Amino acid sequence: MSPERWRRVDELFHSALERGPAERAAFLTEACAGDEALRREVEKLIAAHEKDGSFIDSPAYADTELLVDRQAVLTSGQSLGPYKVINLLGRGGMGEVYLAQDSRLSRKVALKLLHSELTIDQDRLRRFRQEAHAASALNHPNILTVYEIGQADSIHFIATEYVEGQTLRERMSDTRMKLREVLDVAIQGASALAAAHQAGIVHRDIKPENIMVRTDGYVKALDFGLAKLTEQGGTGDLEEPTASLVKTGAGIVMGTINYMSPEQAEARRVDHRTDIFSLGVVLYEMLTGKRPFGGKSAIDTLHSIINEEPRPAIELNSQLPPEVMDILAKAMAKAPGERYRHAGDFELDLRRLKRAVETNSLPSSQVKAGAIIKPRGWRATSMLAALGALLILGVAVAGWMLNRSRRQPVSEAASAPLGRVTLAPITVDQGYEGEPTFSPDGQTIAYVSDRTGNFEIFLKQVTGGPDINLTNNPADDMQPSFSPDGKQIAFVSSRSGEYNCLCFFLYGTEQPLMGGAIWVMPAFGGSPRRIVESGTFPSWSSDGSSIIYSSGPWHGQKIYRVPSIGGNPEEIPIKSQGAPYLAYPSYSPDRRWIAFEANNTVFIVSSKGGEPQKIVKGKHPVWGADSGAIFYSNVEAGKNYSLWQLPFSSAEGKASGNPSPLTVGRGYDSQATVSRDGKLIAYAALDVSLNIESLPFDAETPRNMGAPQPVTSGSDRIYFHSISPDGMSSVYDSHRGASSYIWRVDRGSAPVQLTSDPNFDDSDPDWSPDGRNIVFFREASRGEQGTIGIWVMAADGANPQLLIKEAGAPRWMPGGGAFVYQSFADGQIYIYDLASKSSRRITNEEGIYGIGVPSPEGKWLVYHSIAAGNVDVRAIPIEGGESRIVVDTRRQEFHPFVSPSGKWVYYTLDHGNIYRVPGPAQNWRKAQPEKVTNFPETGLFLEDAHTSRDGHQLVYSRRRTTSDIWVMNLGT
Amino acid sequence: MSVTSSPPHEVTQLLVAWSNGDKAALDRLMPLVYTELRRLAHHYMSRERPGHTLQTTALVNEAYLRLVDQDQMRWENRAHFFGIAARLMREILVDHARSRQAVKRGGGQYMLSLSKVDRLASRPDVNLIALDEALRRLEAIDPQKGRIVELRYFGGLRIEETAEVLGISPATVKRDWSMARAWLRSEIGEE
Repeated sequence: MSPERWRRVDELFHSALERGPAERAAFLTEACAGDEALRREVEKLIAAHEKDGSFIDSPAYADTELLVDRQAVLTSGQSLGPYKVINLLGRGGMGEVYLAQDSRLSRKVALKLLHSELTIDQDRLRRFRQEAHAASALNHPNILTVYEIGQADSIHFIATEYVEGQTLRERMSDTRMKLREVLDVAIQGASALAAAHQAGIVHRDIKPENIMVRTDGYVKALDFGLAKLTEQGGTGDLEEPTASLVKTGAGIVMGTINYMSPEQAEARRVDHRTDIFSLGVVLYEMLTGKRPFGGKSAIDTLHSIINEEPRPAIELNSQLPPEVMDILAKAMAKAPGERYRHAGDFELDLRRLKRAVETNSLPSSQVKAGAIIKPRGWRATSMLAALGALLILGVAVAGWMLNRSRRQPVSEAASAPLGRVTLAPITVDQGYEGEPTFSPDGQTIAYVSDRTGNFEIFLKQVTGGPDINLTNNPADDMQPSFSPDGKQIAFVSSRSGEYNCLCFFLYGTEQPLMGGAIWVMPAFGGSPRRIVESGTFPSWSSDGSSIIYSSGPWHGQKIYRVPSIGGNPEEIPIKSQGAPYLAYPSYSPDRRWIAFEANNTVFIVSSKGGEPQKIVKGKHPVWGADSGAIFYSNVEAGKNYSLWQLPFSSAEGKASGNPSPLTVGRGYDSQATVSRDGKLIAYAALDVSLNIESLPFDAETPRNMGAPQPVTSGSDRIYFHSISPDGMSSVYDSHRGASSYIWRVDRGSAPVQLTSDPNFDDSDPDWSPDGRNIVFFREASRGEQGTIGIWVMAADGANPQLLIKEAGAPRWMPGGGAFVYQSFADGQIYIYDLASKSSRRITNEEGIYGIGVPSPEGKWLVYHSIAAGNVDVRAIPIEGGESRIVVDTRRQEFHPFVSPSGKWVYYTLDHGNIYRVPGPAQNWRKAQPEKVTNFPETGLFLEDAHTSRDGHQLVYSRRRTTSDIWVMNLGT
Repeated sequence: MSVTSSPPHEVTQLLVAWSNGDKAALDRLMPLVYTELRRLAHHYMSRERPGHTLQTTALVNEAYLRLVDQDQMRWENRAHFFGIAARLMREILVDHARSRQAVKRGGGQYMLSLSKVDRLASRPDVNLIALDEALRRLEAIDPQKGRIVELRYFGGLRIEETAEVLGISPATVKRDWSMARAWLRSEIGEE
């Protein structure tokens, strides 16, 4: 395009945009004066400009998502002291909150974990304990009962009464609050404060997040005394000034400051009247839907609290009785001396007002008790559907959970209340049971299980009964899909040799998803027939005439349609440029649309193809029975991969309401299937563990000398580990919760935690050849700079010390006087000599990938490289010399190590079985890799395989996926 | 062990020299900044914990704080620094996207590397490689618009900051940005 023409396009683009859509056509006709190419160019730009959705709107880095949410510290079923965790309710500023069962009293409790940084100061912790107990001991109906403030496994927690309901924050943003309800909440809040103040307890952090509204309307004030733990500076005594609670950055983030009193904002001395002010702010917000004080920054907000009078509430809600203005003025006076002297007076005024409203005897008296308070500016949503489901499950809809998206107005469909909802597992085996598909009558489910040792498709009645193996074939069979008439099942199989492992970052747990040929079999016995040579995720059209599926390489996947009786596949032309994969395509029941997943996002596209539209962030979409909803797994941070439902308008081809949750995410809830009447939803809840196993072995022959023995067990996630020189103990990193620590296990004993500093995450330990020391990688758990590096400690965990900053992957040299490591500054591998405290560089090349391991005689270093695109194994003399490629099969070779004799280099192929090639003692002779382990490939995933020093134990961390299928009955 | 960053005064002097018209200073400056940004990016991409999202501006700010002696700097030097950083960030990110795309194996079988080190994969909403190529075409037609996209999208700069770096008015930046964005979007047929 010539510069002149470009300038012309630029001009017309802006001129056209300045005009309304209606005038543009006429404008362009005139301006382009018959130059159709010019006109098309400008129209193309305008269309792109006006397209919905984001495009390079946030910086590249912000687009680059760095994985999923931090995992919860505790998982369901885990115990903390006497409390058995049922599920995560949510995360607050202080820490996670769980629903748990108290095993001693068999009652449900809310278990709030306290972030470790809040509990470092013992003195402060003691005062918090005192005050929280004192408030709870008042036994006031509006103060949440604290059962216990305790500590178990170095975790501090508060166990409290468990309240079924919402926080006031949730309540306000959910549906409109009527005046009577607002007054009710405020009265109960004031009553709680009055009792606490009388006992000398000041809350200091009254805000909607700290007020629970029970489903029966009862109000419970939470977290008395907790502010003591969070104050910066000062001793927290009443006589002392309270410093600002605000601290940004990596430390404690206290959430909102909008409810602070002026004296708090100015860091002056506070007393009980600070709570009266804060409750006044809460009342103002309930009445108007707006916060009285706010600003662009924390400083602006503080300034506004100290200096500015809020806008009169009546201006924001003209239906308010003028009398309420007096109450607000008395609660929110800047000077404490001008406020209500006692919370009891506040309560009394509120009660009088309420009575006057109810009896219609207000002096101003135009107001009805049913006057509706406008919801907050950011739109109301309804949770009724989810509430119905969750309450019957006995799951608290506490305020911390389910931060719902508030992007769209609520639709009728989404807010229709549900009747009885039940939820039950239909499989309970160990191992993998997933990928359920309903028969059309909802009576039967076909699903995949690995209980026979490979993946097979089973059939089961929803009401119970035996599991019938439908495939019974040595090959893997997966991804079943029932035909709409219930007579056939389409599935993916490796039985004719096609097998391509599409390993997705599924659920953040690297769940491999197999691709293969697509077959169709009679649902109740008979021979299957192959209809497509290569594909994944087959799904039927509602008339049973065709099957759609996705196929093709990473970054080149396409969606195809094939007649269900077999025939030529036809590509559905979808503009999906750049998507690495297209997964789970399915027709809407009315066949107008296809939903699919790409880039962790649910898209829809016309069933004829064309331009897809983003529908919602999520995975694995499936259609509701009447095309009126899409179910998916929510992958947003904090949503726990729970199952969500999005109302959908097929006529308009877009979402017709807000997404709402169906589950709370016991595991990774996904792979939903909906019965044709829409009443039953089945899904898989996945969980993943990685544990160490030891295989008796001879690294020279190589000969397996027995069955693998577990070294660790349970729900642990271990990535790196090291065996002691005597072969009797292991150290490992446990990534069980949000943090990782180093643990040690001696054979036959219980594991012992070696590191536990909450400020650090520790991983990748290596045991010194003399058995005395352990080097490991340590990083600050909240991303602070400067503390990342290699540390050393005694083998019992004593005396940890920093050795090298900005470096990782330490591995001891055989003599024990030095170790090799990777520097993060240049990515090269160095050797560090302990005696001289000096480092020397070994490698000098691009693409080194993490770990380097010295050979047992100390002459060679073997390491990974990604310089050639895949992961290959290389070696270099430690004393200097050229590096060489040891093995490169164009696949991924991980975790190389050299056998004790130096004759062999072992490695793990694609995280699966272990292979070997000739090593330095055979002068790196070229030979075909030899497979030395014979684990079944089905679902196999090994990490950090290596041998004991004598070569007689092969140790590795092995992933196991457990998954069960649950059925949710949405009732009538 | 002596792996240290470049001393702050070196980068500072080069920046001052460059903004005073010494073109050669830029050639010496780029590798220093590049090394630091790569190091930081590598650090974040390989070590950042789940749940964190990183902003370019944070990264560039961090590089700036580490590399530059702030007491000696004027605002316009800081703007220059951000200008350089945006170009380098683009290289780093597009390189990263390319190397990720390359990690797959042949024979019709594809696999994403699954090592722990690699668990922290990036999944850009936008195909960076396609965007980079389209941006090259835009730069050929209209260098200023290309530069604006680079600063805004890869450098994470706001409108005002972009205007500062380029020495043009915020209104012009805004106008050019909307045109450039629309053109790129239609060019790469985004979704």
